[in-house]
Amino acid sequence: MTPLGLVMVVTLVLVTVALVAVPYWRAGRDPLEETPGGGSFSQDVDRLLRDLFCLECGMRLERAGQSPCPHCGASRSDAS
Amino acid sequence: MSFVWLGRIALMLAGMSAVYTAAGGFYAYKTGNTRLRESVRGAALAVAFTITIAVLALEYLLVTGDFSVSAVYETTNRGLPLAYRLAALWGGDAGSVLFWTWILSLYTAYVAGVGWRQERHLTRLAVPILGTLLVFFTGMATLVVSPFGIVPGSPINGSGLDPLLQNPVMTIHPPAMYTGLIGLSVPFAFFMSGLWQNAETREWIGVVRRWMLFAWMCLSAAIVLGGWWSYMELGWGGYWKWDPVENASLLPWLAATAALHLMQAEERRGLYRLWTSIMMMASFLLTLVATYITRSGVIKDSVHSFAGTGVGPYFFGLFWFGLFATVAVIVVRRRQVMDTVTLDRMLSREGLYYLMAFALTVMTVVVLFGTFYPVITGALTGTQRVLQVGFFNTMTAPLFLVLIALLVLAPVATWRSVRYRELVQKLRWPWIVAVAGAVAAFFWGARAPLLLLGDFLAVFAIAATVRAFTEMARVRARATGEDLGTALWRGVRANRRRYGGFVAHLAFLIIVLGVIGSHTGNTSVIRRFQVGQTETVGPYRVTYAGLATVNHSAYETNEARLIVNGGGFHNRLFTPGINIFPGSSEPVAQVSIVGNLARDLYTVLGSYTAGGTVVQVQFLVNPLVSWIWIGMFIMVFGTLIAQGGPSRPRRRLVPGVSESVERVPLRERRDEA
Repeated sequence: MTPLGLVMVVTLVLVTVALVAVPYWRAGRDPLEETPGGGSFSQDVDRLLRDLFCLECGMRLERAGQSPCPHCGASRSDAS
Repeated sequence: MSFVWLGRIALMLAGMSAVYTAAGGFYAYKTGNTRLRESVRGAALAVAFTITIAVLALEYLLVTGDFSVSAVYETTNRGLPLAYRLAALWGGDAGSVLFWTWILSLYTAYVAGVGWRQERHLTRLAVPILGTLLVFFTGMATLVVSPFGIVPGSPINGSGLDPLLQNPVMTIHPPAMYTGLIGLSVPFAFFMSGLWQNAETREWIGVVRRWMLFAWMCLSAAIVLGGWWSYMELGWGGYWKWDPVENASLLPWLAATAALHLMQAEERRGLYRLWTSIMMMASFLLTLVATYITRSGVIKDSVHSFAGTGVGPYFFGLFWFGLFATVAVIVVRRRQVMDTVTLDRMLSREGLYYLMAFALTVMTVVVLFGTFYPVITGALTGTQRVLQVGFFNTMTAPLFLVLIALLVLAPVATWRSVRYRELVQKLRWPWIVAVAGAVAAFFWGARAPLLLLGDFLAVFAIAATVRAFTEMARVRARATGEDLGTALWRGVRANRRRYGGFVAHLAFLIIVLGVIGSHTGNTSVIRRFQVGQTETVGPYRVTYAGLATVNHSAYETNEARLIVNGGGFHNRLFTPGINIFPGSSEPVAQVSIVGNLARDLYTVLGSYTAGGTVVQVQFLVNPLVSWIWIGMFIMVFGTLIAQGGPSRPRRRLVPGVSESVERVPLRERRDEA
């Protein structure tokens, strides 16, 4: 094998290993930032619950993020 | 030699990455390990990257003509033009397995990369399913066919590409066929993922439909392109002869067509769940059957006899593995696929889907039986018996007529039920057009009842479909004040699934008219000429001007020079010939075809004396054949329109809630919350 061939093979191996290893490493370092779709599943669910239900009385809001709550009158800023 | 090693190491890395994609993917799904899941996505990209490197390495070897490599030696030689050297990648066994693996790896990488964002919960299981297939194919490429194997000695020239494959269509047909066949793996993987995860229909149907439409489009184009190649290359004047390999490509197409339509009923009414599931799985499994038939040589007497090689048993094994796995999943998830809704009335859109799927299912079984009949008889009696074209024509023609008849009703049928009065009113004009069409066909020469009925129904369906477009444009123009053209364009854009589907229907009907037309009034005559002699062939006056020898880089052609006048031609030169390839004992016909929308004049040089003083030429007048090729382009166009439609109803549970949250299946939301 020529030196150029050796360089190509080594590059190939390194790129392949990097493609597999880097996502593993990055997902471990910062899962929220690196998970596609804006966040992990449980965080999506948390956000959904926060948006749909009053954080004070727990009642269902008429629209997502509604403030103040039509049931108890708590505003989002109060509750958080 | 560096590129040989590069290719080999790339293949080994691809194999390891594929194993990681499959095993790691299933494990990550089972344990919910998000880090591993992300790494599996990277592994899917790594498979695509390494296989791409392997393909580029082999292409480099093919183009530079390194005949010490077996895949190069077996498929190229020094005189082969560059386009065919590039296309030689799929001209042999080793290269075609590599090519197949490459396309599958690109699909998987796309799903892992892009699809992840859209259908994350389905993709995390779909990727390892596709990874399992990649394990098989990379294993085949590495351990069985060895595209980078070395030929003993140091050959200075290759044995060359099969002469039959040296046709421009052959540079497009196999890639389109592979893209279509392999593409069916993707909806299958998503469907299996949805089924295993107990996903609701609305969660998987969008992505499955989108991928299946794409694969179906490629497969449709590939089937017609195969017919085109057969028409131009094989010199028999036809385009479809129910050859086992032709049937092999038709089988997954029939199942996929049924699945695509059944999905509509499942999506809108929750009907035919089990049937949809079976046809979904059949469409994928039949691609393995198709590959087995093409590559095993198990069925003799095929135009694809060049492809009969030793990889068939492995595909046979993969088929049984796939069948066992899919049946097991269906059994385990039987409650998910059991029908809970029943059909109200047959005369409704869902009733049409039922009949259509029934006809397609029967056709699939008939073609499968007919294709494997030699194997069955061989196993039972020891002698393979081949069913002739007549069997397939007799069995499938009535079913095709049923399909065409259903296309008459498709544009006017509504969900749940159809009002008779409305039906009659909407089909009044199409009916009149159809009767006029049948009368015209009769005078054109369609006297056989089946052909006449086919013409009548096809024109009826075309008129009904065109009426759907014009009616939509008229109503929309009246409501919005737009001109008719704008209203038509915007109406189609507003409902791309419906009208894209109708364009595909029109394309199919145009192909049907082409097929019927090519069997109506076609003639075949053989004439002997001496130099300077003029003969009459139908409306044509043909003068033989002599025989010429033309040297090409890879072969030599002895071609007759025929000057044709009359029938729309004025001094038109036809050059039917015989190609002689060095090293090949079989000369290959070079047909000369010139045609228009009405008919083709198809000429084949039969024989010639030394010096070309006397030649024998076969003339075929084939009406409407060009409609089949035109129909293919329209079908692709229609599918692209339908493909652009929304994959699921655009709705939000609550304003302001991110769509990524809305896409998460309810069951999982509950579980993980």
